[in-house]
Parts: sequence; C-alpha cells; structure tokens
Amino acid sequence: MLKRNLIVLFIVSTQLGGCKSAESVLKVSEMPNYDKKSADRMLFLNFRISTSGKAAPEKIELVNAVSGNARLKNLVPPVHDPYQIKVIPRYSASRMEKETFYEHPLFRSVEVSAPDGKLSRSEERNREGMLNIRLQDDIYLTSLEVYSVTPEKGTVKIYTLNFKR
Amino acid sequence: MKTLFTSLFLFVAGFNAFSQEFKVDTLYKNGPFGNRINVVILGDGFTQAELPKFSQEAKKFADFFLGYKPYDHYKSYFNFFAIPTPSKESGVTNPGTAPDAYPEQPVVTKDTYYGASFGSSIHRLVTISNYAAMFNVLAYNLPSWDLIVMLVNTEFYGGSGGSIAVHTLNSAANTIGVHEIGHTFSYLSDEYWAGPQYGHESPNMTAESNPAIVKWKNWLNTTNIGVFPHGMSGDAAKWFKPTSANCLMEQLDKELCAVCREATTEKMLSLVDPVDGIEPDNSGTVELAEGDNIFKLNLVEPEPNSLKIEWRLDGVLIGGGLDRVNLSGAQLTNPTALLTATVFDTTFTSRVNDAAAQRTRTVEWKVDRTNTPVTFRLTAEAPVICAGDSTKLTATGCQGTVAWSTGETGNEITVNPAATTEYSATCTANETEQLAVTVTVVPLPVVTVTNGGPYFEGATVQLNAEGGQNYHWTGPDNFDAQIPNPVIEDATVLNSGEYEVEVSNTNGCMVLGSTTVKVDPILAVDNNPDAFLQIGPNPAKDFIHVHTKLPGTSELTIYDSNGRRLISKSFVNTADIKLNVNSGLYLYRFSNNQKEFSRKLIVQ
Ligand SMILES: [Zn+2]
Repeated sequence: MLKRNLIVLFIVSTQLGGCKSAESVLKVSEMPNYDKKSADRMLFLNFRISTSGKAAPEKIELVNAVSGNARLKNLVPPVHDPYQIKVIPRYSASRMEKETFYEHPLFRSVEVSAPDGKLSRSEERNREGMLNIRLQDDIYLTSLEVYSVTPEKGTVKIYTLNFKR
Repeated sequence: MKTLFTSLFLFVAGFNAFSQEFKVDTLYKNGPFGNRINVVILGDGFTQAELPKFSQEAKKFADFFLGYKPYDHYKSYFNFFAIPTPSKESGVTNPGTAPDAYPEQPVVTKDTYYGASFGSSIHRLVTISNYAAMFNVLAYNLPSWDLIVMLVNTEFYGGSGGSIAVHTLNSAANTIGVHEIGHTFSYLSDEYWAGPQYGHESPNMTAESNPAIVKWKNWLNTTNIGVFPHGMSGDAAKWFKPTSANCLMEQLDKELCAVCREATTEKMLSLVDPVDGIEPDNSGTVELAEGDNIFKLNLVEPEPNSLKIEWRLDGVLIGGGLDRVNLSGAQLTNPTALLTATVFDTTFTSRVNDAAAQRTRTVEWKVDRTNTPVTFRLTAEAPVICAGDSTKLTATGCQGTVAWSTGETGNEITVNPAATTEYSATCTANETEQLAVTVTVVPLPVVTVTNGGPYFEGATVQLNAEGGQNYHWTGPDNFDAQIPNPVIEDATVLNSGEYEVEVSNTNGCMVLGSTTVKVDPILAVDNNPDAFLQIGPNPAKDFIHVHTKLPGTSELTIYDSNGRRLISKSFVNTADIKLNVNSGLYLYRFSNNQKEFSRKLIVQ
C-alpha cells in the first residue's frame, strides 16, 4: 500500500496598517520522514519566493518540508551580495537565536565559466526562485522568521513559519 | 488597525507519492559523519539504464577531487557518496535562447529528476530547478551531507555554483565543481575582478597592500605569491590578491595557489579532529596494571602523515611520534598522574601563525599506580635520533638519588651523542641499582639534487633527487610533488626558479636540497639581429662561422630540441664553432650584454 504523508499547513496572512507579512503553521510531527525518537533531527524546507514586479513585495510560500536524522555542521558560506535573505529561528527556551544569511533567490549573482578557464560574474534578476534551508530541529523551536534584505527597502520581515508540535 | 485572517489547508503531497529511498553508493567511507567532510554526488538526466554510467562518473569526480591539491593530502578526511536517481528522459533541457548557445546542440525540453537546464540568457549556466526533489532525496538517504555536487548528463560544457556545485560531464567542466567548492567550503573569493560589490576581506582578498602585514605575508617568499592589485584603477585598485593568473580562483585551468590551499587546509582541519577515538576510555581514572599499559589514539592520518604526537606524564615529555605509549606504574613519581597526548598537524600547506596554539588536539587520562609496585626505570624520550639531534633520558621510580654515566645527577638529563651510545644510571637508595639505555644515532641522508636543464619553453623539465626514502618537492607555479624524480611537461618560463626538496630516510631523518631550473623563452626575432649578427652556413654541416659587430664578449650556446645544452662558446666579434652533432634541428642562443635572442639551426 502506498503510504502518503501529508503536511498540514495553515497559512495565516495578517495585514497590519498596509504592511504584509505572511505566516503559516507547520505541524512538525506530521512531516514526512519525521523520527520522533531521534535526538539529532533536521528540518529540510523549500520555499518559493516570487514577486509580481520590481517594486512589489516578495511573496513567499513553503512548497516542501521533510525531516531527516542528522546533525548539522556550520558550513553556511557568508553572503556578500547586498541582496540577502536573513533567517532567524525563535525558541521558547534559552537558545542562541542565530541569524543565518542566504543568497536572495530573486537577486542572484551567478558565476559563469568557460571551457578555456575564464570566469566572470553576472547579476540575475528573477521573478521567482527557491530558498532552501536546512535547520536543526529542537523541541523548543517555535518559529522561523524570514527577512528580505535589500539596499532599496532595508531589512523587511516577509514571512514567519510557526512550528506546531 | 485592521487584521485580516485567512486560513486554508494545504496538502503538499505530490512529491512523496513515490518512494524516496534509493540505494546509496558508498564511494569512500573513511569515518563517522560527524568527524568527516561528507560529499554527496547527485546526477540528473540519467535514465534507469544509464545509472551505471552515473556511478562511474561520480567515482571519476570523487577521484579527481581527492587528487586535487590540497585535498590529496587529506583523502581520509572525506566521505564520498553517490545517490543514483533515475530520470524519465536522458540528457538535459536546452532552451537554446541564449546568445552563446552552442549551434550544434539540439533545442529540447527533457523531463529529468532535478529539472536541470542550460541557461536561457547565459547558455553555459547550467542549473537545476527542482530543489524540493533534491531535499527529499537527501533527507531520506543522506541527511548529513556537507557538500553537494550535481552531475548533469551531457557532454556539452556548462555548470554553476551557489549552494550546490553543478557541472556537466564535459572534461573541462570538473574544475567548475572544485572552484565552486572553493567558495562554499573554504570561503575563498574570486581572484578575477568581478566588480566592486565583491570586494571584501577573505582568505585570498584584502584591502591591505603592505607586504609586512598582509594576511598572506608568510607566503611572500614563495614563487608566484605577492600582493597583486585586482586592477589598475577605480575600486579594483583598492583590492589585492595573492597571485596573478595563477590560481583556480582566477582561472579554471590553474591549480589553487598556496594561499588558497592554506585556507582550504585550515578549513579541513577545523572540521575533522585527527583523533577519531582513544583507548582506553578516559571518562574515569585508569588503574595501571603490573605489566603493559597501552594508551592509544585512533588517528585520521594525512598523506604524507604530518601529525606530530607527543605524550606527557604530569607535563614531562615521555614519548613522541607514535600513536601509542606503554606506561608502567614505575614511571609515576606520585600514586596518581595525568597522562596527556597532544596531536598537531605540522603540514607544509599551512603557515598560519600560532597554528600549534590554535589547533593542537589534547587527550587526557587520569592514571593511578596504587596497585603496581614501584621499580627503578630508565627511558629515552627518543631511543633513535637523527645525527645532530638530542634527546632526553629520564629515570623514574628511584627512591634515592640518580647518578648518570655522563657524570650528571638528577632524574633527567639531555644527551646529543655523535654516534650510538649506551648510557647508564645508578639509583642509590636502600640498595644500589644500575640500569642502561641505548640511544641509537641514525646518519642523515646524503642527498643529490639536480635537474636536466637549462631548457627552452616546451621542453620536459626533469628533476632528480636521490639518497632518501621520502621526497617532498615544492617550487615555482605551485609545484608540489612527492616522488624522487618528477617531471614537468611542456615547461614555460613560469617553471623557472628554485625547487626545494625535503628528503628523509626510513628513520625520518630529513635534509633539505635545492636545484635551480632555467626555462628560457624561445624568443622571436627582435631588433632585426641580422643587422648585428651573421651566422652561417644554416643549414650547417661540420661547423658554423659567427660574426657580430657588437663590442665586448658575446656568447653562443647550442641546444638540442629537448633544450639540452650541447655547445657553448664565448668570443669577441668572430668565432668558428665545430659541430660534433647528429643531423637534425637545433636551437642557438646568442647573447651580448642586454641583447639576447634564439633561432633554429639545421644540421645536415
Ligand atoms: Zn588563490
């Protein structure tokens, strides 16, 4: 029999004085491949980020969430591009709420190589892109805040993913 | 304030409607995930029938990577896995819309596992699109990955970087993966100028140009390493790099420069503890037994093994070089003591200041000899030493005074014998007891270092060293070899300079030798040399006549086609040179003060 794992996702959109920041709820224990007994669990989250135009705010949605048993090494390379995505996990107990920076999927700097060995960089502006995050699970993990960092608009919270246990 | 709530249930189910578990190919498993760097190789555009080809290509890339400097010294610090996933169709999507699209590559859309595609605006930019599929495969099969390499099933050149290194099967594309891993793993900057937004401090980029304090100052005496501006004007002139056109971070046809190798080595050493395990367990006190008490480190060894191991008892050195020590209760002055093992990687690849303070790993055992009788013992810190070295002799377990055959007294003396010597010590307590220990002196290797030059560009440089067991060569253009007689094919002037070789014998006694290689350019005709030099006949038979109008001493040297020097003659104005050579193509080089040029000479 084919076993289907379903993620139940509540998307709650709140509008406060014209500023939009989407929220959703992810039920961690119902994530595919979730191992209740493991001490070292990781959450693998794929978000789609899109925009309808240059000045429009980023839209973000969780498109895939899966768990796996592993312990994360801190191997996230620093981002130097002025366009970034900042992610902060929040906990209900005393934990380091460490900011992590990712390349902004809508403002990517791509490296282009050539068969003769020459390299160059190019700025890509996209209407849609993926943000892929690996996060160490913790029973006190309550939410994940996602911020867009751009020179034009500064740091703006665009999304909160709440974890339900 | 208006608050609007909309809520809905979203069923994200499509992606797990089929099995997520795949067979994982273990290419190299050298140790636990937590103490290794775990590289996973994925493949896109390989059909079920083509999965054996994917596995072969994955192994090929793993071997290419592990053979690349400086990773080649640290093969056992990595685990490599491949996860074959079948694509419905073979190959890769080609939108064919970019200006640099290859005319011979058909425009197609392919249904593949990760949705790889050539770029729509920059053709060579090959990326994947289905990151959810990638996370699912990894979460179920190899969640502990540290680095991801994606191989795309096409022979057309392309690739990309970012969070994963993507490249095609084109033979020129595998260095894309190594370059991108340079960014994501070692946090290296590009050494080509990519624009002012990429100017930032990193291991191989700095705004500091003062050679006395630049972050790679320890490498400035190395060939090709300097403080090079990224450009001559604007922001580019404010940023500096360690090489110019001599590093993989600048050009994919070069190897990583010494500075980038150092950063990469330090990153590997920060992630992998060379002590994988210990025996016995050190969580409690170890009760020493009457016979042997072996304390042991399970080490992850670099190749060649650059780990320096020292054993100390209450801070006093009692052994070194080995992964184990045999401790007897008699070595303890007090009933309990602290046994310490320190491990430090002395690799030549890093010259970081205070490296020993930064990354010496220490293991401690509390030991207790209450249940073992105290006996008088002598030990040599190093029972075998290289000529010129010294070693410490230690007496333990003596309840009175110790007198040595050297005339000294005390529990510890230092000796530096010129030849193998036996030392004795007498313990005078209630009774008198005498013991002896031998220090064996091993001669240093007698080393000969030569090269077959001078050479012209294009020749094969032959380096020769003999007299030892292990060899480590370093030299210009990031040269690094560990065989006695390495060759450099298709030499250029960049290969000129001093080559150093560390030669050690089976006992690890080392001496340093060097040889200077000269590679001359085959110069084009300059300043119309016909105006000041006549050489003839050419083609020649038995001799040539040389005449120059230039004053002072001139020199004419004849080389064979391998760049070997055959004849050399100094003269003023004219000379007749006899040719005792077989017929064929030769080169001659004429020099006079600042004027120098080379031409072909045919001998019939
Ligand atoms: Zn470099």
